[in-house]
Amino acid sequence: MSCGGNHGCECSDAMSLVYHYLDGEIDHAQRAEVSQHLEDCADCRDEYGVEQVVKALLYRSCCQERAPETLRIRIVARIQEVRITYRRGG
Amino acid sequence: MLTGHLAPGKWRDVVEGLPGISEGLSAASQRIPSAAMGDETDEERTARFERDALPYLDQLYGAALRMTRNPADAEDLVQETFVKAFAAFASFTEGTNLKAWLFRILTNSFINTYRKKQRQPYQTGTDDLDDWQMQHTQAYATGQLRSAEAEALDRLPNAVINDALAQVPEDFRVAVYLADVEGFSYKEIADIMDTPIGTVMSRLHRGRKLLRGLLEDYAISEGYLDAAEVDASEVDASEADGAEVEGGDET
Repeated sequence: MSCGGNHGCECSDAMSLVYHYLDGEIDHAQRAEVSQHLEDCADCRDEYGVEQVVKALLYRSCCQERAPETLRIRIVARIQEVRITYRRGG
Repeated sequence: MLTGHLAPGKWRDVVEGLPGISEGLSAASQRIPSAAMGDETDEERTARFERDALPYLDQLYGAALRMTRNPADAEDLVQETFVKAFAAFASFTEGTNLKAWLFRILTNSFINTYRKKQRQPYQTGTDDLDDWQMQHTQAYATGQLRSAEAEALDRLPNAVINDALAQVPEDFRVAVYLADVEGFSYKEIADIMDTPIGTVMSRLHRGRKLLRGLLEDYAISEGYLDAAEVDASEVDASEADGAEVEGGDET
């Protein structure tokens, strides 16, 4: 994912770690390297910005889901049913 | 699916029939501390289940919706998940990762029972992603355009994002959902999906690329992003083709 800028290899190195960086799945030394590169390189910073937005968008669009109350009631009833059946069976 | 009556003799089958439940992330739960579990009555366990597991209902339902892509099936899947989880709950150790354990049961149930009877053609996409799919996600390149792109994507309505996610092949979609919505680590996702961690990373990578491509397409078609600008940057598409594996060296 080279940005084609002056940084060359640095860009592709940094961007190959972009998801690890984004997900916090990266060791301390690598994190520092990527941070430094993002500070230095506007193109990669923008690229990272888009990935960050996509990740955040997904969270935003999915995080407020509520299960229907009828489902909750049905599950509680099923659990009681299973429990009673189990107990009767010893 | 466990919608019928659960006969006493079937109890053990239910617990043992949970694929992978006794390995991986729940390995710790197999060492049942007698002090913690031994004295627990049926009522106490039920109360503990309702107190600890039921609060994950909304989250599991949200994930089930993205897996099945329709509310009725999502409800069935979640109910099945809770019945299975309850059946196996005696062997779950308090203090271990209950959320990941529940998501693992959900994912297993989806893969092993639900997906088989799904009407839509099975579509994991892991190994056979069309070239054009990967290619068209690579089109948008130079710096200024990308910063405009971030702003444009950020304005997209939730319904559009949900539609786009629904179009991403199943295994990629689930991996991306578990990472980005539920915040699971790569290791946890590997345990939940029962795949090597490298596969998780590859699915995340591809899933996100696809999602981004779909969102970009939508942003362009709805005028959030200027198509002329994007066309101008399409030169980069050719060089990026086929370089999607994580850690791939692109020059």
